[in-house]
Order: sequence, then C-alpha cells, then structure tokens
Amino acid sequence: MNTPDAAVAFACLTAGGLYGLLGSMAFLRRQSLRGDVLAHGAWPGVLLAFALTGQRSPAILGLGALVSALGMNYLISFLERQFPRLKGDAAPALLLSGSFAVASVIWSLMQRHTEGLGQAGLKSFLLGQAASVQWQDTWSLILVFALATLSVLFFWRDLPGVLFDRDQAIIQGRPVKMIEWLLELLLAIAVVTGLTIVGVVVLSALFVAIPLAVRPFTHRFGPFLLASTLLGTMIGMATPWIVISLESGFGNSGRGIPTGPIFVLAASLLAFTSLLVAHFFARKSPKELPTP
Amino acid sequence: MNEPRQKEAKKTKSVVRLEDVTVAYGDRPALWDIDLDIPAGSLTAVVGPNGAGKTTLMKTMLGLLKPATGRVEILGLPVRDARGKVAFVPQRGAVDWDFPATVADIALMGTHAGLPWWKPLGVNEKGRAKLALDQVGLTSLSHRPLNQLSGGQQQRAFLARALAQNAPLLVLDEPFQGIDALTEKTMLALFQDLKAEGRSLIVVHHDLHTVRDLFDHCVLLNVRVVASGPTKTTLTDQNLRSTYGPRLGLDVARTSESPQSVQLRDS
Amino acid sequence: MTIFAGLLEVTLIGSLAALACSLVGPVLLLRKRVLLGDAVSHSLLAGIGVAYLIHPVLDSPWLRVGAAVSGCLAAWSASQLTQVLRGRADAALGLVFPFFFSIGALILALAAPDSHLDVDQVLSGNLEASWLERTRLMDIDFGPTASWNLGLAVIVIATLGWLGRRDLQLHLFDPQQGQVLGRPMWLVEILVVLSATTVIVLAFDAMGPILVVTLLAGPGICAWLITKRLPTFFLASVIAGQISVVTGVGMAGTLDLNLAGSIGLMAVTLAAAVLAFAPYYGIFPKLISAKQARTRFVARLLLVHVRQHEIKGDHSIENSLESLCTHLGLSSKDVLSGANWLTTRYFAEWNAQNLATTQAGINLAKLVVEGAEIGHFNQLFQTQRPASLM
Repeated sequence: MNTPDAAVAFACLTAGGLYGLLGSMAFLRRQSLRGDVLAHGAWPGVLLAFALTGQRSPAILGLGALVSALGMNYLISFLERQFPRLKGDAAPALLLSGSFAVASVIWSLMQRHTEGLGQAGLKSFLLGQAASVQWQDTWSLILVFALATLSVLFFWRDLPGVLFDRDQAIIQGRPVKMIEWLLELLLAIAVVTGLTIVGVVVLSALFVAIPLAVRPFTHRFGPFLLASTLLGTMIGMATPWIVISLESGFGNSGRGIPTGPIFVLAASLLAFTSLLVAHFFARKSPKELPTP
Repeated sequence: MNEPRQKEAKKTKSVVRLEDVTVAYGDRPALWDIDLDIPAGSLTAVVGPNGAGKTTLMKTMLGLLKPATGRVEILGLPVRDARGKVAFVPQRGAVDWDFPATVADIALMGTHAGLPWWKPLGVNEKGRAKLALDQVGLTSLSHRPLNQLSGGQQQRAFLARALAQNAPLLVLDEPFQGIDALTEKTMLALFQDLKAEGRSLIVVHHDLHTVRDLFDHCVLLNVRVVASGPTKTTLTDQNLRSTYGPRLGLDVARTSESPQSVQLRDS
Repeated sequence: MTIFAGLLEVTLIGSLAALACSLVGPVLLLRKRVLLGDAVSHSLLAGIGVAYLIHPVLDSPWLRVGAAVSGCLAAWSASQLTQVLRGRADAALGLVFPFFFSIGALILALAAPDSHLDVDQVLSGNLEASWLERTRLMDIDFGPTASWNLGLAVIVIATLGWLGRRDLQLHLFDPQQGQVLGRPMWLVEILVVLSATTVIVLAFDAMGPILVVTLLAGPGICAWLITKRLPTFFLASVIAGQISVVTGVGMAGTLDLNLAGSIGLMAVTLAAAVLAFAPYYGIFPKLISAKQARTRFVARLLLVHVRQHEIKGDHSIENSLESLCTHLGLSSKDVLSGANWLTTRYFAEWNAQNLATTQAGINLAKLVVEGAEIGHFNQLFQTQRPASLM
C-alpha cells in the first residue's frame, strides 16, 4: 500500500492540531459558528483572487481568501451589534449563503471569459484535496500553528478569565480586546490555510467536533486545550492513511477522494462516541463524572 | 496588609465619587445627574425599583460603561486608572457555568489584577486564593468542577474571586438573591470582617426589610439619586415613597405649569 | 442564450421555489432556526448518496425520498444533540450537518466518481436544466415536473398554514402559552419541520443546498424589518422572494450567469438593502435618528444645568461655553449643537458669552426636572431639592 506524501501527512497533522486548539477556545466563546462563516466567506475571495490575477499560487489565493474571510467576520460582528433583534442565526445564514451566491456568480463569469483550465483546480477548495497539497501549504500551516501556540502561551494566564467572564477581565484591567482580536485573527488565518486540505464546505465541523470529543473527559482549562490539540493532531495523522486505503480499496479513478469529508467524518464519529459514552456513564453515577 | 493606608483613606477620601454623571441609552437617560459621595469603610446598599438604573450605576462605577457626562472617581483616581482596585461580584447568571474550571481556578483568577504580564503566579497569589476560599467556606470543594456547583456555591466562588483580588472596594450585584442559609450566613459574617479591615462594600440589595439591619449607608436610586447617606437618616418613609411611589404625572395639585407647556417637549 | 426555450418555465420553477421558501423561511426566522434550514439542506446529500447506492440511477425519484428521510433525520438529531449539549444549538448544528454532508459526499465520490454529480453542481443546483423533466400523462405534456411538485407543496403548506393560523401564531410567539392553553404545539412543530424539509428537498434540485438558504433567509429578513403584523410579514416575504427571482433571472439572462447564483445574489442584495435603509430600524435611518436623539439629549442636559446655575447665582462664571464643556465633560461640538437646538426653539439665548434661559426655557426645565419627560420622579425631586428650579 502506498504511504501518504510527507507534505500531506504533516499538513493534515498540523491542521488537526491547529483546529483542535482554536476550536476549543471558539467553543468556549460560543463562537463555533464563526468558523463556518469564515470558511464559506473565504470562497468568493479565492475565486476573485484567481479571476483578477489569473494566478493559482497559494499566496495569492490565500490572500484573497483571507481578505474575504476577515471581511465576512467583520460583517457578521457588525450585523450582530446593529440588529440584536435578529438574534441567533439569521445573520450568519444570510452571510454564508450570500458568499456562495457571490461565488457562484463569479464562477459563471469566469467560465464565460476565460478558458476553464485553471479553474478546475479551484474546485479542490470546496471539499479539500490531499493531492493538491504542496509543501508551501504545509509550511504555512506549521507557521500558523506555531503562532497560535505562542499566542496561547503568551496570554496563558489571562485566557481563561477572558473566555469565562469578559466583564471581570475588563474590570481587572486585562487586555481583553487585544486577546479577542488576536483569537479572531488566528481563527481566520487558520481557516484560510487549511482550505486546501478540508475545503470550505465542511471545515467548520472540525472546530466543533474535536473539542466536543474531549470536553466530557476533562474539567480544567489547560487539559481541555491540550487534549483538544492532541486529539486533533491524531485525527489529522490518521486522515491521509484513511484516504489512501479508501482509494486503493475502491479503485477510485479520476479525481480521488476529497479529504475534507474524511477528516470531518473521523472527528464527528469520535465526538458522537464520546458524547454517548459520557451520557451513558453520567446516568449511572451522576456525581462522579462531569456531564458534557 | 494595607491597614495604615486604609485608615488614611477613611479620613481624607471617599471611596467612590460621582459628579454630574449622566448615563444614557440613546436619548433615554438611565442615570441622570448623579452626585454621589460614598465614604470609605462603609457598607452601602443601593436600592430602587426595577429600571431605576442600579445595574447601570454599578457598571459605571466599575468602568464598564462610559457616562455621557460627568466624572467617576475611585479612591481619588479616575476609573480607568483604578483598575484592579475595585472587585466585582456579579449575578450568577452572568456566566456560563459549563466552563472547564474548578473552584480553585476561579479564586485564582481574582489574583490576576495588577500583575504584570511577565510575572508568573507565585506563592503570594496562591496563598491569597486559598485564604479567600477559606473565608467563604469552599476549601473542601476546591477541586470541584464548576458545572457541579449549587447556586449558593457558585455565589461563594464569585465571592472568593473578589476576595482574592484584595481590593479596597467590593461591589456586589444582588448577592442575597436565591441563596441558601449557609451562604447567607457566610456572606454576612464576611461583610463584617471586611468592614473591620477597613474595606468598603457597595451592594445592590433587593430586600428593603434588611437594609436597616445590614448596611450603615444607603443610596435610594430612581434614575436620579433620591437620597443618600447614613441609613438611619436616609431610609425614611418619605424617601422610600419618593423612590418607589406611584407615578403621579402632571398632578394638578402639585405643579403650576399649564398644559400647553407639554407641546414644548416635541422637537 | 441556450435556455431561451425554457426560460419561461425556468422562471416559473424558480418563482415557485421562492414562493415555497418565502412561506417557510419566515417561520424559521421567528423561531430562530434559519440555520436549521441550512443544516437540513446540507444533510440531504447523505440521503441522496444512500439512495443512489440502493438504486444507482440518476434522476430517480428515490433520490428525493432518500433526501427527505435524511433531512428529517438530521433535524431530529440536531434537536436531540442540542438537548444533550445543554442548549448549545450552534455546536449541535455545526456537528450534525457537515457529518451528514460528508457521508453523502464520500458515498458519491466512491460510488459515482464518473457520474455527472459534479461537486459544484451539487452545491449550486441546476436550475437551468430543471425544466427538462416533464410530467407526461397519456402523451400530453403537462409541463415541468418540478413546477408541479413545488406548486403542490405550496398549496398544501399554504392551506395548512391558513387552517392552523391561530396555532401557528401561538407557536411563533409563545409556544409555552400554547401548551398551557392546551393547543397541540408539538404537532405544529412537526408540521413546520416537515414543511421545511419538503420545501428544501424540492428546491434543492433547483438551487442547491447552500443557495436555497438565501431564499429562506433573505425574504424573511426583508419582511422582518418593515412589517409589524404576521399576515403582512408573510406577504412581504413572498413579494421579496418574487422580486429576487425576477431580477435574478433577468440578470442571469443578460449577463449569462448561473441562474441559482443570480437569484441568490438578488435575494441577499435585497435583504442587505432593507437592512441598510429600512425606516426606523435600518442602519442609515438609525444613524440619523441617533444623532438627532443625542442632540436633544444634550440640549435637555444643558438646559437643566444652565438653569441650576442661574438659580445658584453663579451663572456668569459657569454658563460660558468653556465651563459648560469642562464641567459636563462634553466636546464643544456637542455643547454647541445642543445649545443650537435650544436657541432655535427659543428656549435659550446667548447673552454675551453665556447661555441663558428664556421664560419658555425655564418652563421646559421645570418639566424636564419634574420628570414629565424622563420618568416618574416629579415628586422625588421636590423632596430632595425644594429650592432649586422653583
């Protein structure tokens, strides 16, 4: 059986760890949905970057994705502030689908005016394609992961306070705004760099599934973040192997299996299992184990 | 600890001073023209009906809200510069208790104030947190995760956090709301201890019957300050009626304005 | 345009899809469940995949059945998971729908790699070809199947909604009250989810899973900000949906664009326009009225403050522009606009350097202080400071 390409293996592993780390914090901030908005919101940016420059380099596409994602992030915060009546999910729903509508229109414009040669590769951004991962992507991911880890370590003392009780942190004079801004920026960058692997459509699931899988088994902040990161890394390590075994097992011709769904399925199954196990144990002895 | 400085504050400074403070949401004032001078070392209750602006007043004292006009001073310093000198005990509903942390972690969070970023949490901080937990009677529950606490225990955890901060002023938002007898007893004893140490407490309190017994100062609030000062002289029937009394509107017997002046209100 | 022949029919289908979505969307919006629609539409892929495995024929009706089943399953799992997670609906949805979608995507990638189920087609639907499938009865062509399906769905849903309108209203505003009154809220809930799933399954062909959400969320948001009552809410939503379709088709036709994308884009643009410009609640109107409100506020503040100093007697020192700014902590721009409000209405005037009240101003100040404008504390003020302002 083949072994995964080294670039792909390290990319998946790093992405897993990264999403575990950032996802656990997004989960505590009740902002799991942001990942979804960022991911879907990045898609028109990718298309535009290609349409305007004709280049498919990761740097250009990544930049387009980042600008678009950050713009979407700002829009959603803006809408939430301006229209508190529109509580819940109407604003994200509009922005998510709106991004794709814009992307759809750009796509058809591109099809009319350019040859479709460069475009086909862009589709790998939708669901992720291990085959299109290069060392550039891997190094970007490693860099972002390092940045995220450093940031978390740097603000280690203040993080739980800011995430648990924002007002209290302000009263104590902690740098709340800076930390929150940093977390959101990191999230956006992490989403954008992982697009080649996981794709826009299902990426957000990783932010939810990985922390949920570990939450029932830990009741302290440090271990929660650490376990989430580690589990993410492990799922990331397993993913390329699963893809390869499926491809050789099913004799898949043509494009190969999209990586995103595999990654998400692995993480989700683990999350469901965890929750079931915890639920089962909690019913037997309510005082002993913490419930999810 | 800070005994000599506390005594000096009692003589020369008020712990909280508000001058001409107006806080508005849009064009509706929540607090109008507030002048308050709360003496250091006092146990002050803030009372008033719903919508009187009690929460707004607290948030303004804590520096969470910026007033449209006026000045807020804590121990003689503008609010922004006094960060860390005020400890806050919010209502329990303010927070998601599913957070992965233990009681000890929460108490320790109180020690962060005023600590420069490079300094790790040392023996001093851990000692203060432990002491705070002792004072509220939560030592045996130190390692209990937050999502397994009862309401009273949550309240005491918040208290421990505030105590660990070792601040000269503590502000509490309806701390006696919905707690068990043990927690109530603990809190009352704690208040007396804190007062003996020379600290000041400002408490938003909902139960008028107990104000006289527990607090030596009080503030009667209804968008404006109706009255403030020592409880004995301030908590009069007249003042209470003014604060809580029914709306009289443009009562004919009271005002001398003619109805036509009403139309002047429109812009 | 190659689809000119079927353009009218495509517009009909799109219009019916929009109609269906704009009836269901507002319900989801009021129950804060719009993303449930998004989740359901993504999860349809799992049903399609499984159905395809069982019956590997494209365009088979079993695909729709499979889609409907998995849609309902996903909705049910999401609600169960929300309870397990103690109310974290965002996490529940974020876990469930990508899971189902991934199952579908994986099955299709493995089992139908060479099929025409192209990824981006799946994602954006295929409105252009939807008119091709016809309903034939005894050799007579009755028109595109999609329009019959959608039309039927619209009629059924609208009828159900109309018949149960009182219970629906209860369910939307206060389901607990409904339960207390003994009305079958559980039934309304099930019917709502079923209707939403049906509409999404049917519109899925036309618009694809993500763009269908534009028609669920967009018209609803448009109507939300500009209507006050439930019947007009639905009406406005329907109108907004139709406008989106017509303009979308027009735009796609002239610029040669993807139909579903254009319609979706118009729906979102319409919603954005309403969010920006709706009277009272829109962003721009709010900015304007906020500015006016602040000026009025500062004016009242000034008036009372100025009057107080006049009574105290130190107005010659305290009522100049400078001291007003410093004492109140306001910028001179603020103070001047407030003073301007007063002077143009003859409540105050500038006397040398100082702001002074006129008789009308004095009257107004008393009113303000007595709480006629602010609240119910006219009495209390007289108790505390009997001398001032009298």
